[in-house]
Amino acid sequence: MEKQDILVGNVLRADIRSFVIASRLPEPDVPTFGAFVRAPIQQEQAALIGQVYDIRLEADPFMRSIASLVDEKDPTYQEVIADQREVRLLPVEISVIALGYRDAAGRYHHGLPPQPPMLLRRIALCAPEEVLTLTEAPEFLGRLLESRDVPADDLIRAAVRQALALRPEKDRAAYRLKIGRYLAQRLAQDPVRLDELLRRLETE
Amino acid sequence: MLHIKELRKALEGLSAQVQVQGQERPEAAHQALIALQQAPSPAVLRRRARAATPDWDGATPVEELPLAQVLTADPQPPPGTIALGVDGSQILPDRHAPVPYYVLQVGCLLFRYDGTPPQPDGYAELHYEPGELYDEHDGLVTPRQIGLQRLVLEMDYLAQKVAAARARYPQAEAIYAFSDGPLLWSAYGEEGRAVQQLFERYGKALCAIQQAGGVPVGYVERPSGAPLLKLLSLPPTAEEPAPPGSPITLPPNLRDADVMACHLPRGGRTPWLQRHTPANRQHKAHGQGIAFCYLNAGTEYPVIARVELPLWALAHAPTVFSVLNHQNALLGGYPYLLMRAHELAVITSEDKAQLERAIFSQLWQHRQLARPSEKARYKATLAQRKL
Repeated sequence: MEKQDILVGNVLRADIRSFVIASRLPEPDVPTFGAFVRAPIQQEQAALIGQVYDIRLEADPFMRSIASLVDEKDPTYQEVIADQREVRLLPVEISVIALGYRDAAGRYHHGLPPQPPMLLRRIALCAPEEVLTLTEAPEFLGRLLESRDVPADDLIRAAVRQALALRPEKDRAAYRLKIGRYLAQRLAQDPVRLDELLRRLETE
Repeated sequence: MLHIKELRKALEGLSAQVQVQGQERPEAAHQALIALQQAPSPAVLRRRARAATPDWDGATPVEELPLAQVLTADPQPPPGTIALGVDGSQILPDRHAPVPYYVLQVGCLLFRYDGTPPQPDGYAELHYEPGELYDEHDGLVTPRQIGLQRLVLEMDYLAQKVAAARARYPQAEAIYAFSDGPLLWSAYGEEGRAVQQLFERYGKALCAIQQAGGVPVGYVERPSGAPLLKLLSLPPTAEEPAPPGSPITLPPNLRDADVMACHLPRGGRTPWLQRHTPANRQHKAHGQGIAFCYLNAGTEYPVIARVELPLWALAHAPTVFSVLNHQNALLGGYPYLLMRAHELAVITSEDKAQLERAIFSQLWQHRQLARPSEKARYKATLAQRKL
């Protein structure tokens, strides 16, 4: 773990392509869709970088029994809703797709990591400088374009939005162009998807 | 492996018995209901109880209200009401374990009716000293003894939490302190200095709650016993005019709760009653005599609970039952804060395994190796066997 890490939770299950985090964070701290996270791998010598593609909240029998009854707007249930949301903190399952990894020498690689994170490893949100480095070359989008199990185009849009926000205003047009060229190259066989994606990226 | 085939005949007997009781109970409950509705005044009932044999352990009315009267409370307590719920659990000692020990744990939820999130809390004790593990006859402490210790710990903890809440919220009218189970001491008559010491601690905890401005409330879901039916079955005294019919005789397996399920509407409760038992006399000696009533806590079907309060606290009944109405409505018949206290108190098998790993690790740091008994070792192996 690194200084001032914002911890998300622990690895619940993992394979080489993706992993799931169990988290008990209160609502404001739950990472958002598309957030970049870091998982230690290879005895913490390296770090997998991934992107959140699903956030699942499941009720237990206790929660289910009150869910049909309570009304968020009704003050009668105010304390109980606060208890369930803020105190009881049912585990949230956060699914992450692996985009690349940082090796022991600190170099960033795009594509599958050498190994998945081990169970119960603690996962943290990536720092802005990590996101900047990872997103420098557009190849970080490669895993998303190849994956059929995640909402890839929404993730691409979220990733590019974050990458642009971290860059100075003057560099953004060039960065957007670089991303567009990469996508055009990779999606040459799928012009409908490319057109839709590029139009959506224009608004970012 | 359970030899379930061997139990087939007994299972048939069990279901036949349930069927017979199911047929007999409504009729018996109906008879008892008529007796309840025709019951004489509380003064007459008390006179009958005084004329009963000294070992009679029924209940008598506390107030002058008709016995069949149904009382109700507001659906929600006043804003600012403060309620605490407490429950406990334990790990029992195992003489085959590597190291003998037992654990008591208490869970507690502070619920304030002011829109803020409730506050969870808890406490655990690990007992391992020989003096705690073995009784005066060198026998391993029994589940019953541990159950009593847990009960006392729950009440002690509740007293601490009431005092803390009182210090933090000095303006609160009262701190309503709910525990899952009866307030009336259940071990009266059990021998042993340890039991007597536990009762002393229990009585002190009740007094501490009172002194801190708390109101202890015992909540017993699905209560057994028939103290009210015992009252209804008492014969008239010689001074009473002859009753119109013959005195009722009630079947032995009928409980008060069966009758209350036919009598009480949703949210309705009976007037207060008090048990005529040696345990309640012992409570009264500490200034903590206990009263009880029956409540229909169910929302969709009758769920009968026995609610216990010290006699000194009966004036707090309107708020106690408005808290219960609100809390019970959330889970369909059981108080939310007690369910949460249970959740905070419960020790799962994973928790126990984690504790045992911590014990092994601690021992290993001191170069001590503890082994389970051979029986426990083989039992663990058999438990892992795949069928």
